[in-house]
Amino acid sequence: SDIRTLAVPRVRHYAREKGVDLHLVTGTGNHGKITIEDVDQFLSADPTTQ
Amino acid sequence: MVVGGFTNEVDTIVIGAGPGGYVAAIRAAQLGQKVVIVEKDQVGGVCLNVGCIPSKALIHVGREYAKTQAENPFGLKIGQAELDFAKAQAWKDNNVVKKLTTGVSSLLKKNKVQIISGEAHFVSPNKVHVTPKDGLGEDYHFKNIILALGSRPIELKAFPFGEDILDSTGLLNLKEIPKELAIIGGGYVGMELAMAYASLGSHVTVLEGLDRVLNNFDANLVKPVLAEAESLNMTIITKAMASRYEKSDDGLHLFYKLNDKEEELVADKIAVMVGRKPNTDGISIELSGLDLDERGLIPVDEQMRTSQSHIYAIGDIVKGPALAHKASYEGKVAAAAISGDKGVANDYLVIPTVAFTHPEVATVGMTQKEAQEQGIETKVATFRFASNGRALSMDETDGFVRLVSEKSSSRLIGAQLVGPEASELIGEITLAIENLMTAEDITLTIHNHPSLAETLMDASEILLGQGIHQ
Repeated sequence: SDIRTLAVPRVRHYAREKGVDLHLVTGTGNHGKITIEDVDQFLSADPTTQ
Repeated sequence: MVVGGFTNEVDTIVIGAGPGGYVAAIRAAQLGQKVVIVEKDQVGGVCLNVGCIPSKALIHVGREYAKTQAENPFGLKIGQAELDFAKAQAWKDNNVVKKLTTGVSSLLKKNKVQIISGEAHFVSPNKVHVTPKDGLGEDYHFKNIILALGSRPIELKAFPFGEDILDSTGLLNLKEIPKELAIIGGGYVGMELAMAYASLGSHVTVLEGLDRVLNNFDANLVKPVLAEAESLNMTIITKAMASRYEKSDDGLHLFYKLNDKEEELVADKIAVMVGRKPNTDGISIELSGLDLDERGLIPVDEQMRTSQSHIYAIGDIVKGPALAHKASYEGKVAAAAISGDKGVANDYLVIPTVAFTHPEVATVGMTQKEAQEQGIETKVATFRFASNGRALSMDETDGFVRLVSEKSSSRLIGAQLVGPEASELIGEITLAIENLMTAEDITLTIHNHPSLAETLMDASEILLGQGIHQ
């Protein structure tokens, strides 16, 4: 799916900055949106991503 | 070309000071870059000088004048109103356009952006030569360059621009209101100015090649505009192909083909507004190492970077709608990318589009039909301004707001508005769509009463099957 439908603009910016592919992140926010915390959680679970 | 001996060294050079270029230059400076901006004409570009801003000013004058001419239901009798058109034009030029362009210049200066007046040409992929109106000019060797060259009106062969045949700029700067005005092209630029001059008292004829005007908007959305055009005594001729004109004592005879027959009309002025083309042909682009696509546009990646990694392109010279707000957004992306921001990207979900006709038309995202074509199941809700207290109190009840949501997720994916302040209202829905909100999010947001924005809350309630006011 289009990453633009997975997260709000600020989170999309953050994920790019951290080199995270939003397709791999599970969203826990409203309506299944991916939050900043979800991106951080993903990074701490899999530090090799960076 | 005479090439001066002196070469300047710069970090970031921006070519073009329109809404893309000047915003890019300011953001780049904010991010610590040493920035030079080159403009061959006027700071502010098309939008501020001969586009968005002056057209909105004339449209406003037209609306105010038309109000004095139309009957109203609340007992205000105005009598014989007189418009000093020279004063209106001077107001537009000095109090609106000049104020804004002066403002842009001082913003550039405040941010320590060096403004160079002249025409830029590539000498090599890392160097441009800037030729001022008089003088030899200088070379600028740069680390990064942002091309914000803009676009210009398309000229029809049989209608070369001049005293009689006007482009949008000429039409905006008329000294007198023409009695008979013919406009070739019924897109949003053509229809905006057609309605402005019709409001000011011209008899306006619009010739459109397709089967309806404002073709980018769906037919229901355009209906209230066509009704207003009729009350302004405008003549709209569709499926009409303008072929040639002749000048004689009684005016300009404009010939056009309609149903395989040649027809004729007589006008004082003819304006041609059939589209715009990118200004990628005047900068010796071949020396930059860049290739253009078949439309003359420059291909870019999601950080506005061209095939040459230090050359960026934004605005009307890259793909997407030719809109000022798109250009500015892309300018900020390019500036941040140059500063090494890895997170920045040209990844918007939607761009709002507005026609400043009367009533105004504004859209963002998908229509139901567009969604269905992509296999998305939708829900749609429409709310009429006639049921809105604020619209009634303004005596502006024509039109509606229509929201489209995705059935499975309830996410808002599109909105189409026609009516009072549609150009302002579209912002709320743009924010909602870009931030993946649902109709419920809108209904749970308290909207001030009475306001036109309540129509968006009402339409959202209808989407949820709990409409209150309609």
